[in-house]
Amino acid sequence: MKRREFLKTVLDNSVWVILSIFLIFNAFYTPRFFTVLNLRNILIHSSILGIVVIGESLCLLSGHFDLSVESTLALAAVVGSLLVKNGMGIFTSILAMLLSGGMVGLVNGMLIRKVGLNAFVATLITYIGVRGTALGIVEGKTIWNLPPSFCFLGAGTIWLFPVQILLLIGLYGVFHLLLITTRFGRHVYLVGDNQLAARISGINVDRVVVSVFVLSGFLSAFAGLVMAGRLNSASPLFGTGMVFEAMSAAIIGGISLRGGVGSLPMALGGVLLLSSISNVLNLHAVSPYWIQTIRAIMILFAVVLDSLKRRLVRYEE
Amino acid sequence: MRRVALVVGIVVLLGLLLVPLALGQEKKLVFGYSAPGLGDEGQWNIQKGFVDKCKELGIEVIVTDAQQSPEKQNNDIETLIARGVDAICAVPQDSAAISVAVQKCNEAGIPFFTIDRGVTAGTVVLTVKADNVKAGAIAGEVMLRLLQGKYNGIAKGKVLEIRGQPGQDVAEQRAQGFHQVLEKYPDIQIISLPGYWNTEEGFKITVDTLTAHPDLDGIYYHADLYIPGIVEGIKAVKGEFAKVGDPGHIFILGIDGNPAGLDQVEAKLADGVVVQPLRDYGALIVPIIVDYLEKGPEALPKPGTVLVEEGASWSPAMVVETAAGLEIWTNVFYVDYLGAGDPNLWGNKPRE
Repeated sequence: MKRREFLKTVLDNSVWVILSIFLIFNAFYTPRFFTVLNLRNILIHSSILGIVVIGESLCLLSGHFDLSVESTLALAAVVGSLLVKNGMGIFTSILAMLLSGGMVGLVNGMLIRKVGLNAFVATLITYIGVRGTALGIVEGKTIWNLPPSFCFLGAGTIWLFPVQILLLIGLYGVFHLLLITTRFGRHVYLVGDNQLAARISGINVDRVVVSVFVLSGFLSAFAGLVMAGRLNSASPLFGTGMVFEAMSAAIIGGISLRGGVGSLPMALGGVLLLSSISNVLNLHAVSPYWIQTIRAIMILFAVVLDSLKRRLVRYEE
Repeated sequence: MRRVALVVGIVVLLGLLLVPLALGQEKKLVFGYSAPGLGDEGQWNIQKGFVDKCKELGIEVIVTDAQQSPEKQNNDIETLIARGVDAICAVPQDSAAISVAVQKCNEAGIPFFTIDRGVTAGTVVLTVKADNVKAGAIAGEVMLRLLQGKYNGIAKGKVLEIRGQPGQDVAEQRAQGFHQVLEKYPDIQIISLPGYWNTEEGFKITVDTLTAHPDLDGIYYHADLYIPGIVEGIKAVKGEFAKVGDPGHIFILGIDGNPAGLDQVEAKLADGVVVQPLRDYGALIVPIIVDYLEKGPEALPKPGTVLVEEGASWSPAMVVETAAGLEIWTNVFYVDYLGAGDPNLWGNKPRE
């Protein structure tokens, strides 16, 4: 019994187990990997993707894709930076950024629930349209040299801790609590698990889905704010290709594409694993021509390890 | 019956109205321009230069934007063929994928030109691009000089190279030129990593490499868009950024010369940049296309000649016959913070 419980704990936290194995292995085999500076680097690299993954995970848990996250990030970065460069106050600019993200989320939610489009199609439309809007606003120009206060969330530190890392931890904490302790959180899981049953049991599915997309939009926009601060610039090309990384991180973390299964701490594990893999490849300065292949093999290895463990537990049972 | 007569009357009247128009006006040239994506400053400026020159010469241009999709670019070009344009000029997103569209263009008898990148198959009349190998080599020579300056004339040190997209010809050539120069010096170590033309990736590479090699001496980037990531990456690891000339400064130089890049060089964030005449590709190629349409292949510049135009940033340009066809390789040159403010550089010209 004890053994089974142990195995269950391992399975439930498989991504963290794999991450730990990866960290321990590299502590021995990768020079300068296991240093405070480098572990801090990994957390910094994880923060922007991590924030986007919270939004993506909320959508996936409710049984929907959100492809528009990376475009929303770029739009928010461009909108906020443009406003702040044109003399608008920091808070107004940030508010406008977050609102732009919320609006994209609202449009996504409405397209899905009110117009009746498939989430993949609806968010594909906004994925294209929103990046297009970002491009149109600045006509491909890069905005740089932003005010330090605007960059605080991306590049600032509180005592010795980069704000980015504190934000990552804080946001995961808040949204994890939201999912497991509130009625809204339970509804997200129920809608994702079985929409029909959720509706029959009196849950307002429209409201849950629209809220999830609005939250995802807000979070992506927030990630845009952090990225603009981190890079002290904004470009309509920010976040290109990030949606695939966000989905991979969530899936590696065990969030089901069918909805209703998974948790945020696991998704965070997925984010940290992906960032650690990239970090190790950079530290080893792997050939630019092979880096993608090696990254793919490492991800495959992690996923296979995970599926092996699942089989093992099934066998034990 | 009366209605039929009325319709016939109107048609005849319209026809009569159109005859003098057709006779009096010479046929206006229409060019198609297929951009790979207008999202970055470089592509936007190449396109702007092309469109401006066409306007100046009274040519109509239809611009399409492939949004980084090779497939969309093929569709765009097919649409331009269907539209019956007189000539098509493209900046290929993917040199191989575009070949299908180029061959269709050849079949339709529409001359095809490219800027910045070549194509794998199909006939291209002429390609105008910067000499990227030379640009990489210039960057390599400047880096060598800076390292020798730091180490009392000895060529040694560690340099990070943030590449573009591995496999893409521009990134390969920029790497090739740089390596050609520095690989002669065994004490100079080059760490090459791909940044995929992504600012955030440039940040991550800078941070990780500085962690693995705290004694890094210099950073060579393949595009200006990496500069903010490099500067912030150094800040993130070292806690502060030492500008050009300050103690502890890490040499930073690369290729492009777009507005943000020049600003950053002028602000002493980077040591310098090898500038390409992106905005002037159009000024060079459009008159050649017009001549070609009028006089045929004789109008093309002959391989081995050097094109010179007083005051043009592309000048001098070399005409080269390559395996891919006839190419014009434009001038590239290095500017440091003293020269970065020059209003004649394309990056300092107003956008409109």
